[in-house]
Amino acid sequence: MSCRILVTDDDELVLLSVQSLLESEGYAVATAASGQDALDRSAEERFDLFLLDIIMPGLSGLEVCKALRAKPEYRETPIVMLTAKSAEADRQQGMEAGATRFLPKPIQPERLIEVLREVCAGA
Amino acid sequence: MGLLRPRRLRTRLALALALALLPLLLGAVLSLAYLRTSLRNAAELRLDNVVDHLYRVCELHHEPRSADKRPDLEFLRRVFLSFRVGRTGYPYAMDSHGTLVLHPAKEGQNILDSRDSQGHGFIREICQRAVLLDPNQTGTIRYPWRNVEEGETLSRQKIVKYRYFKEWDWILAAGAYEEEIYGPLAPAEHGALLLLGAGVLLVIVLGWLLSRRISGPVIRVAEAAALLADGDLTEPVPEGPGDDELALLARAFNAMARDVGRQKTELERLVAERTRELEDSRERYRSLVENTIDCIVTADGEGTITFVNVGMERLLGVERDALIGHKIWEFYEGGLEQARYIMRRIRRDGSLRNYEQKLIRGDRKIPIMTSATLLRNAEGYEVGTLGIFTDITKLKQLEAKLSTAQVNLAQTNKLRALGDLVAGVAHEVNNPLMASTTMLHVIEKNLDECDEGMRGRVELLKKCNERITRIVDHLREFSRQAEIEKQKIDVNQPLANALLISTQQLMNMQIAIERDLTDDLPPILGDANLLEQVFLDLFANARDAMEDQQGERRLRIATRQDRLDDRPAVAIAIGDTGPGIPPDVQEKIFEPFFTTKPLGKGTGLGLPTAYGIIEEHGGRIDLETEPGRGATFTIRLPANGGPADAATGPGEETADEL
Repeated sequence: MSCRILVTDDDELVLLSVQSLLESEGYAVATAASGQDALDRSAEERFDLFLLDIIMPGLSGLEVCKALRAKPEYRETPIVMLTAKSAEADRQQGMEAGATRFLPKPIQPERLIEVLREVCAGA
Repeated sequence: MGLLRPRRLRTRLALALALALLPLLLGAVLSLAYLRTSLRNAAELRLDNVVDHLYRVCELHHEPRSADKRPDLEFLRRVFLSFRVGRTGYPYAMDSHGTLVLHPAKEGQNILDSRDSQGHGFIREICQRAVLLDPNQTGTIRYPWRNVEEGETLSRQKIVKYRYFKEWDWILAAGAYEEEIYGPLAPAEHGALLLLGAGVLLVIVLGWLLSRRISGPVIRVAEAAALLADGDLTEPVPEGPGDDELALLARAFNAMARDVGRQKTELERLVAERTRELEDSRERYRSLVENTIDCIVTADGEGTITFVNVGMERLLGVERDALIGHKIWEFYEGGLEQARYIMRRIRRDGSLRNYEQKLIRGDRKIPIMTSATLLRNAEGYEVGTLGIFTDITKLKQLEAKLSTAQVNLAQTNKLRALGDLVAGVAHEVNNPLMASTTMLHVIEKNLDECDEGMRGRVELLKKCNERITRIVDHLREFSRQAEIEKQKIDVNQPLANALLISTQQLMNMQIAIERDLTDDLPPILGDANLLEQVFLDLFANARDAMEDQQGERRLRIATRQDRLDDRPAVAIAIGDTGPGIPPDVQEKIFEPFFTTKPLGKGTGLGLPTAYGIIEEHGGRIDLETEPGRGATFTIRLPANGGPADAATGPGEETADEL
């Protein structure tokens, strides 16, 4: 099954490790180091799933999420958001911005893959 | 009272006058006596003359007829009887043996033994004396005589003059009643006596009048002065019309009395005014002293209480009468030593200000602020000490509260700062940790099935990451910054949940669970999940504490209604039978990262987190422990919605009576 994922995080360590994990699971992965970068990339090509970190300099994950939902082609595309575990208040905002799932950070790789599988299958 | 003196004055004045007139009177009396004697002598001269005359007759009769011895009796009789002295007096002659030679009635009779009315033989005396007389000398004899022959009953004084005619041995005598010869003198004598009497009377009357005239005004002044001295100013001395010294005295006195009266009135007015002012002032000070909240005490030089005000009575709960006479230091916590110290301070600095000590009231000790100074009398001598005590029980309570609050605030601030730091750390660690864990997962997945050595190493790395993850989780919990979600809950609920989770673990370690839960606890406003976490943490601590315990292991869990800062609260006590917590550890247990557990077993964040959560609930967590006798944590949470909804404001608490 082909599921093209754009991973967005300002932390290169997270970006590289998640890319490595997802690729090892057989996903086609692209990365973006900022919110703006993610929007640019999403305009260049079509993605099936977005993995978005919320807290980033420049455009935050929430803003990116809203911007994506504003585009007709991504209105239904799953968007999974990652955020620091304690920021429970973010969850509400994330859901309002149109996120599909909301995951705490750090997350165990097994759990992340499980969730992504569910979401891809649903898509 | 003062009236006796002027009376004496009058007597003395009269006496002085009498004394002054006495020589005059004496002169008058003497003159009178002399006059009388002279007159009498003149009267008696008649008798003398008769006797002399008879003697001359006898002489003449004798000489011419010197030859003839015998006198011519007839002739002589005629001569003799021709003489009359006074009304009844007569001359006679007798010889020296008492035989009458010539006599109007008794010639020839011997009357030598005749006696006067007192029995005296006056004829014999005449006979004896006459013969001894010189030829020119006249003798005199006086005797009382009562003429029996004429029926007289009263004797009268008779006077007889006699001479002795030697040639014939005749005694020539002439006698008469004194009254007859002095008779003519009587009116003159009486007149003189009358005059004298009148004179004396006049002197007395004049003296009395004069003394009265002089002393009268003086007495009136004296009496007025006496009245004045008694305070009666209404009776001035009557002023005479004259301008003599006494009138001047009266006028001066009246002027003085009026003056004194004016001054007295003025003085009385002033005294009344001053008295009123003094009473006002006294009342003001009395009410000041009595109504002040502070306690006022005075003591003498030996420390014996001489005065206390109402405040002091209230402070010690003892009646005034029971305090006075006692030593002040009986009520000092520090006793006599304290009193001496206070006195030293007063003497050194002049006074004592706001010195803190404690007073004994029954079995209670009351913290007070003492101010004291020396008491001096009007002359400046020390007569004791004045002490003012202020009850600072409330202040002390507030101080203690403030101190606790400060400690709590400091603790809270410290924890908050730490929370911020920890949150930052947790956040920063998050990404690398996630990356590391993710990469390990990828590496593990791609490992050769047979490479057991590498798989083991990766496994170790994964465990490292797991521990790091757990620590970060703890840190994150501790630094929780999200608002807790409070609801009305029964605190037994999270407690039961925590027990449910822990029971198996506890039972595995042979720990008996003793529950003493009160069913109908008032609800509290809280976050059940967080409280559950706190209970779990405390259970875990208790469990760990009893791990090495020999013998009975028991976890006691009790809930009950309690009070927190005088408001209803719910208390949850969790106690173990472990070794207890040593004092040096007690003060650190709520500090983050302090742990006594082996490395890796405790993060040192359990109790600080519990503390933070309980704080967030407006509650308090306290520890009771004794080495060897276990430890009990008691959590108190405000009931019924907490302090914000409490009915009483903070100002009304601890209204202790004193």
